[in-house]
Amino acid sequence: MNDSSLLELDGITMRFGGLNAVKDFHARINKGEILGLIGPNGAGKTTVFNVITGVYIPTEGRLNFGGIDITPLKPHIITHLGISRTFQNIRLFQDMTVLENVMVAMHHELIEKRGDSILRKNGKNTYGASSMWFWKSVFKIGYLKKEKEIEIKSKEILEKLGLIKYINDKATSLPYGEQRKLEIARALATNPKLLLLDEPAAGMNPSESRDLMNLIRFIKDDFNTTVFVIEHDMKVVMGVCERIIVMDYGQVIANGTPEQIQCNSKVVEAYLGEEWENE
Amino acid sequence: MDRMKLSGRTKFILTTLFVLFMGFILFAAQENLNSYILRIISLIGIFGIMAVSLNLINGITGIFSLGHAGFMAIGAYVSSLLTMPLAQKEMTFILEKVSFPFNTELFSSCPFIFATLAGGVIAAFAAFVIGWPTLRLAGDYLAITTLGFSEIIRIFAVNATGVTNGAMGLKGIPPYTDVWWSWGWLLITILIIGSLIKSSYGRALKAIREDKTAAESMGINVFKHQLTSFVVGGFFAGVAGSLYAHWLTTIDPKPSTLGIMLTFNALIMIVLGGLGSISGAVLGAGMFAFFSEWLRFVESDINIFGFHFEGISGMRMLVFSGLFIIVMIFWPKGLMGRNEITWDGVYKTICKIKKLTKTGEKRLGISGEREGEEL
Repeated sequence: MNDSSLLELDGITMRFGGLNAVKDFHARINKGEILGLIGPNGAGKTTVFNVITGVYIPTEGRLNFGGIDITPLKPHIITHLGISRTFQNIRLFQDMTVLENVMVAMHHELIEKRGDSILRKNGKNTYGASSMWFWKSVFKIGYLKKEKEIEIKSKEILEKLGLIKYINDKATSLPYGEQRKLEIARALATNPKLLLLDEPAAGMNPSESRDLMNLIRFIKDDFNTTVFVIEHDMKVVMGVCERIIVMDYGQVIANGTPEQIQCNSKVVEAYLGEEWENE
Repeated sequence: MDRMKLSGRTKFILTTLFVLFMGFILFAAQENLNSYILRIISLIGIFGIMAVSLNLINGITGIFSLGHAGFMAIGAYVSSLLTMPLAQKEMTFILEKVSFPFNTELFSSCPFIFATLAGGVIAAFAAFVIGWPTLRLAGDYLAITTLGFSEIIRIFAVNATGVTNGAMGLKGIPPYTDVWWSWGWLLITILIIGSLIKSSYGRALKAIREDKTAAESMGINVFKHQLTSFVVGGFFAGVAGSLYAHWLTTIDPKPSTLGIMLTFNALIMIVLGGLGSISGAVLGAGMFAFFSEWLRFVESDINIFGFHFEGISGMRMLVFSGLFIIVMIFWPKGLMGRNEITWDGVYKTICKIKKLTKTGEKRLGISGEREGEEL
């Protein structure tokens, strides 16, 4: 593992019964890049995300995140270590306000002791989580200060993403595009080093997806994160990604800059079918 | 918006004043009302604790648990065995002698507060033991398993004759529960569970209710939080059970005393008040206790236009069900929904009423002028 890489996927295979959703998947995500993952429907893109975030434990292979082996860890611990995601179909906490949606993503900083001990073992910064926070928050001993801190940090994030005007609205009452943004804001509140975006432009109109591209670049610079994005909208992918991985039938078929991908014959084949020559 | 908000200090003072006011009302009630009404008032307090604790589990965390009566039964038995005098125990346990820890002087005639706490703690421990395997399930499966566990507790009470006196039940439990105990514990329950819900933990619990997968991806340990909520709810269910036992003074393991009926009653209260609202739960509990007593008149003999109708016992439950259905039709989310009665809300309503009367006055004024012109 060299210094520049953040996450290494080493021979990931995910089998569901007889189906190989992902087969021998190798990839490296470098620090500070915007990496795209594309492929036809059913290629296994979301499964890769689910494996990275710990929803599935891969049948074979290892995941190395900044020197920590995260293969067997549970989703909440992986989030604590610094990988956060959004969902293909929006999964906001619908009955909670916009502010609460973001604040809840900082809860793990208080209590995730196991995640902290893994971080400590690997010489990383910890959050200072403690199980005492249960009693502290029930009896309000030194808790209100922490609550205020969380609120201020959440408002900062909402301010940056331009959602501050909705702060007390229910999450469901937001327009569709803003709900997508809120999901990103919530993911950013977990303080991620790696942000996984699952089809962020789905259902957006051209002007909204243009805004989204700017937003992704802004997030990368301002929050100092690496972004790994699944997207079907080629304009967005080609416009924002520095490097693209193409998947088909659970395998990597191409890996390179947008220009390289556009002229790759295998990619064209996967999307459009084999070239048929008339002789 | 901000103009309509009160500062934290004002709210604190208002809450303190409200609690003192309620204390005064209870004091006045105890001085003036008869013992029957006082018993109903203490029952409202007990039901309130029951509803608020079940609301934490069902309404806030979204765990559909039907095991509440089991925790209450544990609280009831543990505390009763601790408060009953040794002589009373010897008189009650005729089938089999009372077994070890409870046959000593140390574990008899304990102070009520200690017995209630012990009942709560043991119930919380039971919640932990039951929650550990069952909370891995979700939805209907969880409901069925928790229901099964609460039945196991009840059947254990039927068969463990040495501890619970079997189907004969415990008799002669000292009648310690009065309005002060029940409403005092209700206050503690509301303060602690309310404080928990208003904290970061409460947000996490609500997030679990809304979407488990998303909550997990936001760094929340779903299982641990569900278990925490279950144990806290179990503790207060145990407390409610203890108060209930010292209110009834006799307990037995029949489904109608400390069995499935109690769970359903608690469920009715929180659905009536609004799942996910503490004030709703208290409101629901109050209404449930009030109506199930007040509706007794429909069971008595009635004379209408000279026709004599004989009273049918159990009729009030029929009427009550009808009322419940009407409430569910007009307020499908319960009376309060997921809203709370807050000082901000009260203040806002007062402001609105003020505005309305002001505009009303203006309108009156204008119309007055017009009338003047016409004249």
